[in-house]
Amino acid sequence: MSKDGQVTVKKQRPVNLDLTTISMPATAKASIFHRVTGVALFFALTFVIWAWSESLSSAEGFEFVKGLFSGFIAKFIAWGTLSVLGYHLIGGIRHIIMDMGHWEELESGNLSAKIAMALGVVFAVLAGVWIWS
Amino acid sequence: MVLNQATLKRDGVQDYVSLRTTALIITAYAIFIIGYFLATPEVTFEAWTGLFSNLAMKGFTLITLICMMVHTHIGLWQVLTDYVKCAKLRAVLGFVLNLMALAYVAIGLIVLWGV
Repeated sequence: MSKDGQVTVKKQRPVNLDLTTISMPATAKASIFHRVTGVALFFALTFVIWAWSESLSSAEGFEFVKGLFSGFIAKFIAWGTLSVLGYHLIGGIRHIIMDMGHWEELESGNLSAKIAMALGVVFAVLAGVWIWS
Repeated sequence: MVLNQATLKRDGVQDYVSLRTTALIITAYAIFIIGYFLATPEVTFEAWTGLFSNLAMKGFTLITLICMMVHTHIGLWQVLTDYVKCAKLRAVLGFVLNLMALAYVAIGLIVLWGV
């Protein structure tokens, strides 16, 4: 390769990181959901820690938080938090199983990604039933 | 290969191990708390404060919060380095988010102190 070969190679590298134009296989979706749920959980902690702190502050604080849970907003935040936690845990467990050398082939990787996302939906439904019943 | 672990400089292996170990502790805590609510049909103020006045529970909660701080330090760094290309903005966001995580731990410590 000539002296300017490196420059030519750099120019030829395909750059397409526009996520809206990339066709995402199940593994990519499982990965991005794991990231999104992780970030969402971080912000959900603000509500969780506030409710926890308030409920432990006094008997009145406890009743106040308990009263909030008769309304839709608190239930929805709790459901959302549980749902993203559920998928983040399932995705994390899948990661640890993959660390041990499983599901690393195209077929098994895609299948485990689809199962992880399906389990995440099942978990969200169960969490909804638990909270609203 | 990891040649020197006796340093505060970050390396990928340390991040990887920290991310997994903290995840396991946070998972155990989440399962415990969900199990507590499932097993306790009517959570009263007495039962709730009784749970968190237990020294073991205080320790478990504080350790989990510190694990959350380590876990989010690595995880949010991974997300920020992938999506926020501007180094200055990334530094500011990293600072704010890490400060938030530290605040979660500090508030947790203060709450546990008072129960």
